[in-house]
Amino acid sequence: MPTIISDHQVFTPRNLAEALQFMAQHRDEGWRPLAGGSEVMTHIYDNRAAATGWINLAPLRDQLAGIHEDGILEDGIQEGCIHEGGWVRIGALTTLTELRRSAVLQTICPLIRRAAAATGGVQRQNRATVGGRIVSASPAGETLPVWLALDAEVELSSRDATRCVAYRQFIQEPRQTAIASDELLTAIMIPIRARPNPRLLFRKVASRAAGAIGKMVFTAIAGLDAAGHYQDVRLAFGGMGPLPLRACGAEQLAEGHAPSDALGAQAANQLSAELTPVDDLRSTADYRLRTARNLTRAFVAGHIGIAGHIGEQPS
Amino acid sequence: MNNDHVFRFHVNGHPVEAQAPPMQRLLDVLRDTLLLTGTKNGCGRGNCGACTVIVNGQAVSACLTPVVQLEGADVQTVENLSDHDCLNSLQQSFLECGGTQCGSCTPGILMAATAHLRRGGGTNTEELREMLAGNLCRCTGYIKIIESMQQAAAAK
Ligand SMILES: Cc1cc2nc3c(=O)[nH]c(=O)nc-3n(C[C@H](O)[C@H](O)[C@H](O)COP(=O)(O)OP(=O)(O)OC[C@H]3O[C@@H](n4cnc5c(N)ncnc54)[C@H](O)[C@@H]3O)c2cc1C
Ligand code: FES
Ligand code: FES
Repeated sequence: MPTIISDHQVFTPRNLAEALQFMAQHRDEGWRPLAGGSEVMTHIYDNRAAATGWINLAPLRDQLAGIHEDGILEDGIQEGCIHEGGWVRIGALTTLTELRRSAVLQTICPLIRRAAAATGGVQRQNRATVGGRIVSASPAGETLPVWLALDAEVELSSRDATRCVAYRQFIQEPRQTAIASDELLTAIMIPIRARPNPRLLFRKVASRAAGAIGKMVFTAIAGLDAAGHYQDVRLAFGGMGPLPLRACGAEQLAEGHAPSDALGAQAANQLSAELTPVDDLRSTADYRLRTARNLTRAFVAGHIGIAGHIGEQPS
Repeated sequence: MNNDHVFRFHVNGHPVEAQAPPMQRLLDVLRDTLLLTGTKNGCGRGNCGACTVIVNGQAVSACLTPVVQLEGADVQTVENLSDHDCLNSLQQSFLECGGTQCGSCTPGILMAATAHLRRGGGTNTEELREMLAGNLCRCTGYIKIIESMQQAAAAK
């Protein structure tokens, strides 16, 4: 049956307060937010849309797009989310193109820019939003393991409250998140954590550099303390399971040790115990695990990764 | 159910009032309502780039853009590139360098390239290839497309 486009209704709020008021009043009527529409429109035209009522977030760009270091508090957004060491607040309606071009992110978290640049083509980056990507919760998104590695939190707002949830907790089920039907994702918050001598890596393995969904995505962050030992190691993967995930066992194994080939090999072996990737149309479990092992081995051994500013305050 | 609304925006510099359901694709409004058929319907799912137009200075897929999000927008289509029968330098380069064969990808690629070059985007081969990641061409093998864009950029 073809899509009947006139069945789809849209409510266009003037601002965030009006959107949240509408969501509170109509919370069980199946209305869903419409951000950049890149997923919503494909679902509608494939006749598998989750709703026929859409809340058009475009007029909220003034309030919900943009990247602020140390946070400029928006109206109605509470202070409970501030981290001691400061944070970067990325509004939910920030587009992937805006992530790519952000000077603040280039200074503080260049991995985010790399991940945004590897997502879809330019047409997608110009419209797709950070929030839409997070809420659609597919396993393969390039930005998602980066949020995990950065210990990001998502800010969820309803008419009556604002809460922050660790991104890791937010994505407990495949393709499902902890968002309630009257809540909007309003921002993602990146805690600024000082790491000495940080080293970073973002790698997407796909049939094409951009515009193709990855077979797997790997992102890694680690500091090296004055003695040359790993501190705050984060190894995060996309496409290795139904959810983006962190290899916590391999992280712990590396923590406190100096980079070496032996340590890299141990971390790679630990991955085999920790990860159970799947076969699907993009790749095989075997290829994914081997690639993850090779990248992890090379990163932990200290052979790949760039020096970067993650977690450092820009000077 | 009649769910049509009137949406006001600009297309190629002219004010338009499009009557359509709010989730109608810009692609259909351009092709079926405004009869601007230069914008092509390839995949209809955001994969091929044939429907690329410029909205408020940025290349977007018209097949993924609902008309409700265009209130007040400035939309430019491939019809806006030439001055009547006189092709602009980018179009002329595509002719001269063999950047177009069957032509179904060409309007989208011209618009993606126009947005990129207007913004002052880089013109080395790597940068242009990356910019083109969202546009598929089954005929040219892309090399002639890149050469066309480089010739046009050099002529500026
Ligand atoms: C051709 C194509 C190629 C793609 N390639 C890639 C790729 O390479 N890598 C990748 O990661 N992704 C890719 N995507 C997916 C795309 O990037 C995501 O679907 C996109 O980021 C979603 O953002 P959006 O703003 O367009 O969301 P929308 O489509 O507007 O919304 C997506 C979902 O999130 C909900 N939502 C949106 N914003 C909010 C909010 N603030 N609060 C609560 N709920 C919200 C919506 O209700 C909907 O369920 C591709 C998509 C297409 C069509
Ligand atoms: S028709 Fe829009 S991207 Fe293919
Ligand atoms: S010229 Fe035929 S698809 Fe590009």
